[in-house]
Amino acid sequence: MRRRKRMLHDLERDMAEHIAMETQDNIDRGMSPEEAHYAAVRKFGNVARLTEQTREVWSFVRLEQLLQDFRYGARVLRKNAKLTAAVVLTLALGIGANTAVFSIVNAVLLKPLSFSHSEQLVQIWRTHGKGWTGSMSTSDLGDWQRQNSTFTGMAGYAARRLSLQNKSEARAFAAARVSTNFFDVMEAPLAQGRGFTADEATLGHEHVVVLGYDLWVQEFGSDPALVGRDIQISEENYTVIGIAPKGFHYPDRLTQLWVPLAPVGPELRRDAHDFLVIGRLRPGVTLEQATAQLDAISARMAKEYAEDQELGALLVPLKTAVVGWMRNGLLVAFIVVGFVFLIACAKVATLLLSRAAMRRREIAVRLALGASRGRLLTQFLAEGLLLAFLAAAPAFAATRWTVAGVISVSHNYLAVSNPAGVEPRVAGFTVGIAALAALLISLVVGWGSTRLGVSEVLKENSASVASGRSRIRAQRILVAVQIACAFLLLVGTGALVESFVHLSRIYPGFDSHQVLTMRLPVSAKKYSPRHPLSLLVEPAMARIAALPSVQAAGVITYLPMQAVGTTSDFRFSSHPASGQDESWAEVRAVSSGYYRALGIRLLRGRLITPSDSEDAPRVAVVNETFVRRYSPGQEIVGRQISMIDEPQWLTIVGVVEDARQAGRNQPSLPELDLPYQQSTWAYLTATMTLAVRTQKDPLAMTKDLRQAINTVDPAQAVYGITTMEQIVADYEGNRRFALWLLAIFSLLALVLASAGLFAQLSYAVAERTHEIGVRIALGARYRHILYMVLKQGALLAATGMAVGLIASLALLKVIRSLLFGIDPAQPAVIAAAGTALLLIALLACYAPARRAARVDPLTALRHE
Amino acid sequence: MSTKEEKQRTELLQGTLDLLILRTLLLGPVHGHAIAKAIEYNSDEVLQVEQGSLYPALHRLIKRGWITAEEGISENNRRAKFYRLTAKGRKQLALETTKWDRFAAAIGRILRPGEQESKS
Repeated sequence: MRRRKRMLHDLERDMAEHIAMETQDNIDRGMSPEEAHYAAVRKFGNVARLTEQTREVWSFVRLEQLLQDFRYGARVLRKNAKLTAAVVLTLALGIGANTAVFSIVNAVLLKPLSFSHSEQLVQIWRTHGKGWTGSMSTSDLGDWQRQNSTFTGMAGYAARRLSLQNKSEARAFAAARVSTNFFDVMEAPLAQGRGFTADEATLGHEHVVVLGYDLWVQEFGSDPALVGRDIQISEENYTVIGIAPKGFHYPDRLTQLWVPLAPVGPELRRDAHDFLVIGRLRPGVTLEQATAQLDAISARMAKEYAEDQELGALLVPLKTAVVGWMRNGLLVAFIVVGFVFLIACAKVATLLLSRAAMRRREIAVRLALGASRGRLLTQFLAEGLLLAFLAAAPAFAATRWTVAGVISVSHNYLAVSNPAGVEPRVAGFTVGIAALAALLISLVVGWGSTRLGVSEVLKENSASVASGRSRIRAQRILVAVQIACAFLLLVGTGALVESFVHLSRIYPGFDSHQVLTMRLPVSAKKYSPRHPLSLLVEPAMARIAALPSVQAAGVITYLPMQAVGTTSDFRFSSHPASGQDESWAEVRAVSSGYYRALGIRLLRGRLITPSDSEDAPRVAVVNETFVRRYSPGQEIVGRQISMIDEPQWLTIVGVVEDARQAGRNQPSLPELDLPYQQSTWAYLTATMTLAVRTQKDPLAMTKDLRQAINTVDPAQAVYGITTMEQIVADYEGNRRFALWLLAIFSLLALVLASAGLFAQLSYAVAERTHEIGVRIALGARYRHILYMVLKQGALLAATGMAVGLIASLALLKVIRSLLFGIDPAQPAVIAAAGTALLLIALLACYAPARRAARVDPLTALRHE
Repeated sequence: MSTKEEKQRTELLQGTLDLLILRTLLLGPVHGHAIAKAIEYNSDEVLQVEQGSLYPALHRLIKRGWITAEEGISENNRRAKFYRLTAKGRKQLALETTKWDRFAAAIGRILRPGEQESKS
C-alpha cells in the first residue's frame, strides 16, 4: 500500500516532465512553441486514461473503481426513484419470502435440539416382527437397561395431562411420568432442588414433582422456598423437589410437570406397552451397533417370555423423531419460494433492461472511449448489489413478522415455538441470496445492454431509439421465464386445490360442523372401581344435554383424527371365519351420547346406552371396517369376542358407520368401542375427550360447558378446547400449509408476471410508434394493429406457458413425493390454469395494443 | 471499432513494449522520455509508440521487480525518474529475447516459406 503511494506520487510530474521534454525537442526541430506543445501532447496520448491504467497496475484500483461504481450507481438509483422503488419492492418480496422460509428451516432442521449433546439422544421404539413399532413396557425396558453396554442411560416416559390446583383454580398442564433417571439421561441439571432418586420409583414414594421453569415463574413467582413444599396435583399432595432448567421441555414442547414413573399393578406386565423410551448413546457408539445389541438382548428375552415374541428395537435420532415429519413440508415451501425468487429477479432484470435502453448512448460512448466490457459489467454489478441490499435490509428486518406469517399459514403444522430472532446463519443466508440476486440480475442486464454496435448507436439520431436486438431478446426471455414460473405455481396450486376439494368431498363418516370438543384429564386417584367415573360423566352429560342449544353430548378416548394407536388384539368365541392370523382393532371407550354428538349413524343392532353400566353385561359396538375385515358375510351382532388377556367375553350389540380415524384420505381402521363404564383398560379412560353438538357457534358454549362440568366436580380441569372442524383441519395441516403457500405465492407470481408482460409490450409499442404510424398511413386497419400487438403478447405468453407446463409436471412429481396424498395434475386443472393465465396475459396486452392501434399516423411520422 | 479488436491490439503492444523497454535499459539507467526516444530512434522510427503508454508498462515492470526507479537529474537539469534494469529483469530480457526470436522466425517461416529454405 505504501509502496503504491510512493510509486504513484510522482506520476503526474513525470508525465508532465515527459511532455515538456518532448515539447523542447520539437522546438529544437523548429516548431513554434504552441505547435510543439500540441504535437507532444498528441504523441503522448490521453493523460487521464494513461494515469488510470498506471494506477490499475497497483492492484487496489479495482476497489477504487468499485467504490466509484457504487457512488455512480447510487446516483443513478436516486435519479430514478420510482423505478428504484419498484425494483426494491419486488426484490424485497423475493428475498423476504426466502429468508422467512430459511429461518424456519434453520430453527427446525439445521439447529441442533436444545438438549445437552443432543446428537447422542435417540428415540427407541419397540418393534414387533416386521412393520409394527410402538411403545414399551417398563419390565421389558428394565431388561434393556440392565443388559446393554451401548447407552449411558435409557429412560421411559409417558406424556399426560395433570391438573394443578393453585389459587383455588385447577388448570391442566402438559406433564409426563418419567423414569427416575430421566433428568440424568437428558443431562438437564435442575435450576433448583434435585432430580428424582431411584427409590421414588416405588409406590408410596412417588408423590414428588419437578416443575417447569416457566410454570415456577408464572404460577409461583419464582419463589425459591417452593422446593420442599407440597402442592396439589390432580387432587393429591405432591412435594416439589426441583425446578427444571429454563427452556427445558420434553416430551412435549410445553411439558411443565414431571412426576416419577412408579408402575402400578398391571403396568408391570410385559405386554403393558405404555411407555416411550429415550436413550443416550455412549460417545462413539453408532446407531447400528446399539440396534444390534438391543436386538440381541431382545432375542434372549423372546426365548424367556411369551409376551416378547418377535421383540426388536428401532432407533431413531431424537432430532429426526421430533422434527423429521416437518422436513417435507418445509422442502415444498422452499421450492415454492425459490420460484418466487426467480420471478422477482426476472422481473427486476426486465425493469432494469428498459432503463438500460435509455442509457444506450452513454454505454456506447463509454465503449467507444475504450471502456472494457468487464468494466461496464462491474458497474452493473455494483448497481445490482446496491439494489439487492437495499431490498435485503427491510426483508431481513421483517423476518420476525414474515416467519410469524408463514407459521400462521401453516395451521399448526409447523410446530416451532421461537424460530425468529437474528441468527447469524439467517443473516448469512440473506446476504447470500441478495448477492445471488445481484449477480443474476446484473449478468442478464449487462449481457443484454452491452452487446451493441457502438458505431450504429452513435450514428443514430438521438431522437429515434431503435431497438438493441440482444436487449429485446433478453427482455422477451425474461418475460417468458416469469410467465413460465407463474404458470408452474398456478398449476401446482390448481392441483392442490383439486386434491383438497376432492378430499373435502370424501365424507369422513361424521359431521364435523358445530361440534365443540375439549379434553378432560381423569384423576386416577379420585375415580376408581369404588368411585366410578360415571359419577362424573353421567350427571355432567345430563347437565350439558339440558343446555338450551345443545343437541347431544358424549365422551370418547380419542375422537377421529385426534389420535390413533390404542389398539388391542382380540379373538372371537367361535372359530374366526375370516382366517386372519392377526385380529386387532382400535379400541375406544365411549359414553352413550357420543355417536349422536358426532353424527355417526347406526347401521345394525343398537348403540351403547346409559344402561350399559359397570355391572351390566359386557357389550361392544364395532364399525363397518371391523365387520368387513373380520366377519364378512356373517351377522356380527350377537357374536362374542374377548380382548387379549381379558377373561370376560363381550357381546357385539351394534355396527356403526366408519368414522375415519386417520384422516379422510386414509382408509378407516377396524374399531371396537366399549362403554367407558366397562373398560378395564385404565389407559382408555385416563383422559377423555368431550364432544358436544350445538345449534349455535360452538366456541360460544365454552363457558356454559365448563360450568356444567364444574358443578358436578369443581376440581375437574379441562384443556384443549377446540372445534371438531379445527381438529380435522389440523390433521390435514401439511397439505393445507402447502396449499396456502402455493396459493399466496402463485397469486403474487401472477401479478408480477402480468405486470412484466404489460411493461414489455408497452415498451415495444412505444418503440414501434413510428413503424406503426407508417403502417396506418399505408392503410393498416385498427384491428390489424390490435391483432399484431396482441399476437406478439400471446406468443410470448404461450412460449412461457409451454416451458412452464413441462416444468410444472416435474414440480408436481416432486411435491407429490414429499407430501402424502396429492393427486396427479388433472388435465382439467392444467387447462384451467392455462386459460386463466392466457386471459390475464391478453388483458395485460390489451392496453398497449389499443394504444398502438390509436397511434395518429401524422404525429408519429412528424415525430421523426 | 469493436472492443474485441482493440483488446487484441493492446495486448500485442504491451508484450512487445515491455521487451523493448527492457532492451533499452540494458545500456544503463534512463528516464522515461529518453526510453521513448530510444525506441523510436533504434527502430528507424518505424515503431511509433504512444509515448504515454510507457508509464503503465514501466509501473508493471517495477511491480514485477524487473526494473527499479530512482530520482535523478536529466540532461537539461530537470528532476526526473531514472529506470534501471534489475538482475531479475536482465534474466527476463534474455528469456523474452529468445522467445521473440523463436516467435519471429516461426512467423517468418510461415509467411515466406520459400525464402527461408533458400537462406538456410
